[in-house]
Amino acid sequence: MSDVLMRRSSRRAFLKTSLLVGLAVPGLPLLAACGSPAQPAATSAPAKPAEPAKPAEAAKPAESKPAEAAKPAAPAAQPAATTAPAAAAPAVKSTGTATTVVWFAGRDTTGYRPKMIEAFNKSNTSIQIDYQEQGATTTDLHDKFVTVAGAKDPSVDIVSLDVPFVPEFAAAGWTIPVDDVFPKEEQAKFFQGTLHGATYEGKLWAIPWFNNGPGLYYRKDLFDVKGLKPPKTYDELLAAAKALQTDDMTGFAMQLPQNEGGIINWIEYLWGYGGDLVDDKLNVVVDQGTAGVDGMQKILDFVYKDKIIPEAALQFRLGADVMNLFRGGKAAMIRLWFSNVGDLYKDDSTVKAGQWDVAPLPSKTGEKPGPGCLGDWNLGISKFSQKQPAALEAVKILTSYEYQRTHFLDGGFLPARTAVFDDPEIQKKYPYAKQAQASFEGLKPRPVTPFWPQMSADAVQPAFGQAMARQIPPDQAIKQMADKMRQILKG
Amino acid sequence: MATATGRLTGRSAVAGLLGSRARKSAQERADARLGLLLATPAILTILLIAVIPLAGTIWDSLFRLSLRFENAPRPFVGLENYWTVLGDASWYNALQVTGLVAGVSVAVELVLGMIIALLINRSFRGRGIVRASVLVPWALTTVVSAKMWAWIYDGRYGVANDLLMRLGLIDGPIIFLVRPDITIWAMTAAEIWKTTPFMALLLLAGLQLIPGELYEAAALDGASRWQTFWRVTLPILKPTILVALLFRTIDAVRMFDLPRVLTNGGPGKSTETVVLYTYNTFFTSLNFGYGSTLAVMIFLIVMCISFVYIKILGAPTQGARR
Repeated sequence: MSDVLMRRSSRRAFLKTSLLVGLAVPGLPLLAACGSPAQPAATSAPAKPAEPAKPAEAAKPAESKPAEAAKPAAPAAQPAATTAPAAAAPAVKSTGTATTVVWFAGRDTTGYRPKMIEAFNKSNTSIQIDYQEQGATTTDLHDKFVTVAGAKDPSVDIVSLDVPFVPEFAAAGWTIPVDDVFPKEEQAKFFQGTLHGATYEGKLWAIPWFNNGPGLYYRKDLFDVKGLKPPKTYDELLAAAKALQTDDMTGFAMQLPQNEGGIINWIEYLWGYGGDLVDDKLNVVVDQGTAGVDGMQKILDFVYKDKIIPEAALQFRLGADVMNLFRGGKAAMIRLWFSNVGDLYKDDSTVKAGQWDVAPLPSKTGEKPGPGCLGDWNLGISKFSQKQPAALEAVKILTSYEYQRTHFLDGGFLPARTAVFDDPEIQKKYPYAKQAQASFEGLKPRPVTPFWPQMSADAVQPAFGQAMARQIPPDQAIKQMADKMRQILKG
Repeated sequence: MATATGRLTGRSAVAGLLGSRARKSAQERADARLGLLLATPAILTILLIAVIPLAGTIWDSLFRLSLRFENAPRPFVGLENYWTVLGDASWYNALQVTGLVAGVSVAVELVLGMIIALLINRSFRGRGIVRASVLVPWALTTVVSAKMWAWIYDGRYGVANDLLMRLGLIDGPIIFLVRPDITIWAMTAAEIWKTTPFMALLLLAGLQLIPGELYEAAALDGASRWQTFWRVTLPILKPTILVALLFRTIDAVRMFDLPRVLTNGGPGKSTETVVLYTYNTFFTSLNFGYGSTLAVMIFLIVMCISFVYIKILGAPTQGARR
């Protein structure tokens, strides 16, 4: 009897607790908003005391290639003193203790960068870098920095910037312009398209760090056997793919998922057919003329009609997915970033050096190479950093000729400085370097507007995804995309 | 213990309200003080992690608050954002997706969870191991299991395609995660796989509270197994079932990590849940005012669901008291 009563009362207590939990839990997602600046009182975080220097880290016993990144430059072709002499080292005083700056970076799958930072920290006494990779994807890095910067938090000093982040963060007031400390004559040593991607409203907001653009990787051995040449037009691409396609090998592949990597592939075809997303004055023009529809139809035909691209390309979310196909000998041609080339040099690659090469992207007419999308990375400085001089100094060193050279030579990351390509050692190690250099001259950025990330995610990606899944026809996708883009630009 | 203290506090509070302060003994007053003292940390915690952020979000939702431009004005717009939600096609789409996935997954989970709970409530050799292994999907981090399911559904290397092709059910591989008609069900299946163990665990706890003598009595009266289940197990289990449904429904409505990792809302927006839409409004659109509005809407929805369940929950308890 009393047993039953006990049980009932404890059950009631349990229900009461569950009610409380049930009410408290939904409050959690709302936490996301509590750092927003509507409440100035809440956001003016007390200034953090300067982080203690980490001499212990600098003094770690040398293991891998002692201070490799800092080794003296090759004697001959050495165009510029690397760390801009004009900079005259503002404010950073090495008073015995080093300043530690925090660097928010994207994921480096090669594993090279932590070693590079270790070498940096060994060879620099006044600045130490605390290198932090933020999540697996570019979006993760973006969202983390938005969280930190949105709260005006000073815990980040340097941030890696994908091209679309530059205008977005500049407009939001989260990064600082670097024109003053990065003189014009120094800027002239970079690829101009790459610099353009780091510029917003006439100011430079970041320093280009490593370059990236697409190329057409192809199986040279198979092309030679069939007496084929790398295709210059879309039609030649189709013909070559059909000639080489077997049951075990697809003729061609590219990334076509519903994400930034996917839409870039379509944007290149949009440009290839003479269209664009927006004009110089940021008017949406993607639905004017037929370029958008034609480009999309071409890709759809490649997948569903000509069947030279496997349907699985719709879920190749990463460049590595396409590269794995190619280096595993399962694709005759792929359109992919130069930044993925390193995987072809790994021991587990079925396709070895000499069996492959890279050509410029094909175009509609073949007169000029097809336009490629700029995909480089820049280094910017957080506006809320309390160690801006030290952070700037670190960025200057990291983007210097010498660092970009070793970054390429040892890590496989292509440089944003043109002169690095003239280095004989580079040319010897990377036969495709000349091709990459040519590609980088003609790269185009995606729309340079702080609205781009939203336009991409809300307008372009869903419409593209639906069109690729054949849920809606291309003309409807383009119309839907254009309407949504206009709506977003209105604010 | 806590219940006892709570009851005492309640009684003295009522006494205080009636103005019978003088009649209270010193002992009662001390008890009341102690009760308040003991409850303070809990109240403060709830204030800190639930009430204050909630109030902040509601406040933000009354502004046009975009982080897009540094010096953009951030005017007070009153309820305009809420008006916008009512005409927002993306919101209704997300609501529909969420409702569909939550409804189907919770219903299926209840049935599967009940079957599992009944099975592992029996005694057999190796029951401990079975009970532990049933929990594995639930114990896995959602992001990890979402990645795992992404591989299972992969169009080239996925197990799902391999199985279906071996069974002769399909001719060529299906790219599960880019087919608008299939993706949402593929995602629902992953959700069911992940959270059924939670349902089973709660139901099992309820089953174990049912005294054995009830089953003995039922057996003596010649009830069949089916009758025993309908007339004994289910009625006693009802409050537990409702609590389990409450937890799971609220959880399902707030589904975020699975769609974010598995599909990121695609293809199109066919798997964009309300929380994913809210997240994107905050972090992609940088629209913190409207994002807050969406967050408040989700809060209201979850609160309504809670109240409905609690109303249903409350009924049998009151009946029993009479």
